[in-house]
Amino acid sequence: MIEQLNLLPLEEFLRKNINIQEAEKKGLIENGNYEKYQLVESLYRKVFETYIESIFSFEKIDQKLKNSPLEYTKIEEEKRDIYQKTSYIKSEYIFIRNFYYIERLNEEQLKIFINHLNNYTQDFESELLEIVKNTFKTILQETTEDGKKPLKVFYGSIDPSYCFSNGALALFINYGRNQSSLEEQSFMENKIKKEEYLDTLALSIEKELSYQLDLPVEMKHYKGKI
Amino acid sequence: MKLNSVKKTIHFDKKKIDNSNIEKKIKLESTVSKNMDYFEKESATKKENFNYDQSTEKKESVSVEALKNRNSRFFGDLYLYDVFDAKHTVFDDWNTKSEQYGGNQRVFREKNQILLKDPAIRRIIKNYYPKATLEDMEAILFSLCNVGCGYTAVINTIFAQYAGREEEFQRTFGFPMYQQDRDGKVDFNYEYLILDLFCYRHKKYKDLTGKFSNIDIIAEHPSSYRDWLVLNMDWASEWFHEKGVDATVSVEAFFDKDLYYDSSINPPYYSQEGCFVKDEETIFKELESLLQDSSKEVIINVGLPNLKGTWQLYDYETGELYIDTNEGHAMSVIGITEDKDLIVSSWGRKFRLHVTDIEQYETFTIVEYKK
Repeated sequence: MIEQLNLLPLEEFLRKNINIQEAEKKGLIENGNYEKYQLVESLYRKVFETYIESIFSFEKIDQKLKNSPLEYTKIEEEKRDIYQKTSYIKSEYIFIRNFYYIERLNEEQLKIFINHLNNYTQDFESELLEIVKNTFKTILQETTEDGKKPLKVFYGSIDPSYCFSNGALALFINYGRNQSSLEEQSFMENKIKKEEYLDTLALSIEKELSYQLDLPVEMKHYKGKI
Repeated sequence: MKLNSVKKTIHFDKKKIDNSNIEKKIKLESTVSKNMDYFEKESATKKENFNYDQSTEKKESVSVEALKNRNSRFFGDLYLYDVFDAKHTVFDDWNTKSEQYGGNQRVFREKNQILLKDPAIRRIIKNYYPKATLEDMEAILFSLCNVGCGYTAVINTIFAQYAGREEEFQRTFGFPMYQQDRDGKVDFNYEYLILDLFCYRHKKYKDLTGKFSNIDIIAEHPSSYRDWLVLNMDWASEWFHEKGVDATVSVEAFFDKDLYYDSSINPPYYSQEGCFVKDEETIFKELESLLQDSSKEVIINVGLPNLKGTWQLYDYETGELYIDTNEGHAMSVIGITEDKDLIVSSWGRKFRLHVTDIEQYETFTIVEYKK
């Protein structure tokens, strides 16, 4: 199981407001070693994103974007955000940007996750899914070190375009530069159409997912490196 | 880091200026300054909705009593306007509702379509990157939204200093300091200078990897914000000089510079050991002194890569916690509240920043204007 997981790099965990005390108490961090935390976080993310894919087809969205005459170039692999690189969503354009604070799971729930890491069988999947469905709203909430909940969250650098409401499912649509040299009018027309189409797409995704998850969903579309 | 309590409480807004020249009428001269190359009368404006028709002028009440005579009319694409109440500045509460409490680099993404149509924006980019396509220009503007906080903060200082000197601003930089929309709202023209400074920095100076930034590098958002933490702002001083403004930019760090930055390690390591050379109370007093000096504008640089330690912004009006982050950021420091929070401008909004959040590796950038 472990080899099938896409781990976020350690530096990402060091930057986050993980409740270290709680994580140590639950054995997720041991003597400064975050390995178990990384693994459980990745497994939680895998179960959650797989669940989201079961209720919403991102593959269809990908097909639309790939086949669009507006030319949405896929962003190159090496230029992708680490969350896009480690995403379990089967999409070349869309990924979830939230972090999952799994130290907020209770001991029993964590035990099931850790057992699953060591001894994966499909029998556990429905059990894991049940835990994720009951906890994701708490797990993806950002808090300060002293437990406050800020209104807004920046995912990525401190670009005001990356500002999401705290507690929302944060999605990005990302695409690359075309390196084209279109005439001005064609370029502007194409640009406007592209952005309008993505606005419409984002709205429909937000609405559908928000209804399914009973959670605010925000999607930003971006072009280039995040 | 906690500051010792300071006996003297301070609450001041250093941006208030002399009211003796309010309601003076300013006629824009047709004199074209050396910076006027970008701005020609035939050029389209960047704001598409300024079709203010005097014949149908309504007497609208505005949320603040800043405007006495709204008699703006077009002069080509430049506005002849009456100077608004000179006691209002860019960092006035009057501007907070329109999110114009200082510049806001978000416009480079949100108003991307409008800006790309502006010939002045294009000329600024072409001046530094002559072969830039529209696609390239779009990438530059997006990147500026991403890393533009420091550039915005420097340009904020210009607008703060030139308050009440709009005609001089026009002559120096070649375009109006602001324009008014049909609702009388003043819209400051931050974008041209922010963009110019950004392009100047990337074109003329090497980044931390030792390269000049071509557009591909810019589009990948180089960590140019780190430059604000590296103790060399000579390039910004040189930009002012080229614009004909007698100002210098320096960084005040509260620690031993030699221990600060070690670029030989990947990722670069910012040493915390032996950092403080001044005690906390001294730092606070020095900050007060800087803010009280009308020739100096202060920018605070917070957050640092690779290290944990968050800082928080509180909405000034509501007191709500707006964000908690450890990302690198630069903000204009406008004043100090009675309870010793900093009043800062970020993204065109007014916030409070706890002084106790300033970690030992953060810095202040000082822009000093010599009159």
